[in-house]
Amino acid sequence: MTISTMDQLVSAIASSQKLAFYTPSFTTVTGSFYAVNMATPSSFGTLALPANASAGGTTYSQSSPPAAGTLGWNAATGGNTSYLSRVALLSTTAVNLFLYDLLWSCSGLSTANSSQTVSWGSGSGLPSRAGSPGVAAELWVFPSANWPANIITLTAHYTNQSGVSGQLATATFYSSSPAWRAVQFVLQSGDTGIQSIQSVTQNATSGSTNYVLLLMNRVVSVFMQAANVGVLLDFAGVGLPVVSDAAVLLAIAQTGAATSGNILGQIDIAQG
Amino acid sequence: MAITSLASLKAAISRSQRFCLLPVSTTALTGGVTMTTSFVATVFGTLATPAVAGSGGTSYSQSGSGNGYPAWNAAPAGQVSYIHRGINQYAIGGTGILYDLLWGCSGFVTNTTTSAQTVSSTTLPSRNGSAVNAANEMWLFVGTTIGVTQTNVQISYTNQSGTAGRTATATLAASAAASRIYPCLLQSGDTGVQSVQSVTFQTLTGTDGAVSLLLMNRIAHLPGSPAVNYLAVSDFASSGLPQVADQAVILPVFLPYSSSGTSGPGCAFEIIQG
Repeated sequence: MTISTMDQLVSAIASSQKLAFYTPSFTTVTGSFYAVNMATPSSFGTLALPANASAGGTTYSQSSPPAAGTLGWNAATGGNTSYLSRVALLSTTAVNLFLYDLLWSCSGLSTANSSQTVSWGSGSGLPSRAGSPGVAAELWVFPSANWPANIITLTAHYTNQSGVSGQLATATFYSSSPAWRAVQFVLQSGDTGIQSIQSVTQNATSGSTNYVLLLMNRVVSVFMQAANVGVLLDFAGVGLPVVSDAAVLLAIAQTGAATSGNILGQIDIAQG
Repeated sequence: MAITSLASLKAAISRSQRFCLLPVSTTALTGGVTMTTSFVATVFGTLATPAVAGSGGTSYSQSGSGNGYPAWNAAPAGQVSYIHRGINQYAIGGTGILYDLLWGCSGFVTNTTTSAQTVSSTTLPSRNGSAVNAANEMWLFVGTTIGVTQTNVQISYTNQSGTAGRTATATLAASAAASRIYPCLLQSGDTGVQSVQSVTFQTLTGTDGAVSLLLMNRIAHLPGSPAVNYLAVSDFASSGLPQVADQAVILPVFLPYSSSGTSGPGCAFEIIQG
């Protein structure tokens, strides 16, 4: 069943689950992106780094109780569907918050290696989600330590949303980029998503900094334009996206200052 | 019963109980630092400072008007109370969050010892007959200004599942002023607090400030007010219709936009029932 009337919407909002969270301020670079769940402790804990690429990485689905570093809610019952119905965001610095459903991730990649294989399939590949989870997936990368003093362009070799292999996505890290700073890959022209990843190559090698790949679907974007001025987005403002009860929500924060600020937020899950 | 249709929502709104928390005192503001004036003065009176940690603190439940929080008529049998329509009004801008104050204890000193200061017991109230330890938040409230030295704080507690020996952390800024309130970070994996065992200030602050520990449930985010005297309003959709227990003791936490001015922040909200 889906929400299809105003009465159903009102009823769902009135009984929605409220998931409050708090992330203490952490050091950032102005304008940069950070995978909050992994980069810093939050009220919902810290998400563990995924398994190595050589072991197939980690496929994500919500567990009960939720794993450390994730927000969990009671799954919809009676054939109902879960929706994101509201987001409230407050921070002591201006911050943009992008909420994702984390599908798959891997660690164990190193700037020391010019070519590294991802053993996709020896893990669990893409998780089960309604529809095709990879069709609009985004690929991100962040280092778990400071990047070496060299500009390195990463190339991810992948199979796209339609099953076409041999596609290339690129991401560039600038010299000495700080730990946990995330960069999004640019997919090959015409592609919208990823079914699987085969390998990662580099145009240069330097040092031995490890980095992590994230494959995820964007759920909602929230823009907080001024420090200390909170944002409320209602069902229309968030677009009432369907959220799988198996979703593992990960936040990417783009900060407007050298610190993230204390972030107090809340998301509402309405079901109907 | 709960609100399940647009018609029932409209009927509930037509009977709403309205409360306006205007400031009655001037309080120096610190931009970007959360604060509450409930323990200083409100139009509803002054919230009593909780009892000291050595006597088990104070459990809070609504007990009529004039006690530092708004009191509303309880929902009729079978109905539920909701927060509807929050209004944020600042003299200088900012935003706020409405909390339900569950329990607090006072008497912690910040420049006398770096040893654990014991909390003798924690008695959490119930809300609508249910326990409140599943998703509560821990905050540190500054009653009198601490010294010029910042201090990290560790709080030993028992989590929502009854697991003891957990540690929450917080930082009190140097010269943290009175009426400031600081959130604590629970240990990874925890979502709430059943009881608190001790509080430890890891660095002496230079001057003894009076600090209280509060356990609260988050109820509703208020809309942001981006400019001087700018009213910001949320409706049923943007407020999300959070349910609020009729025993709730509303404590607003405000985040000032800047340090300019001394006028206290204010807000308003409506209680609807259906």
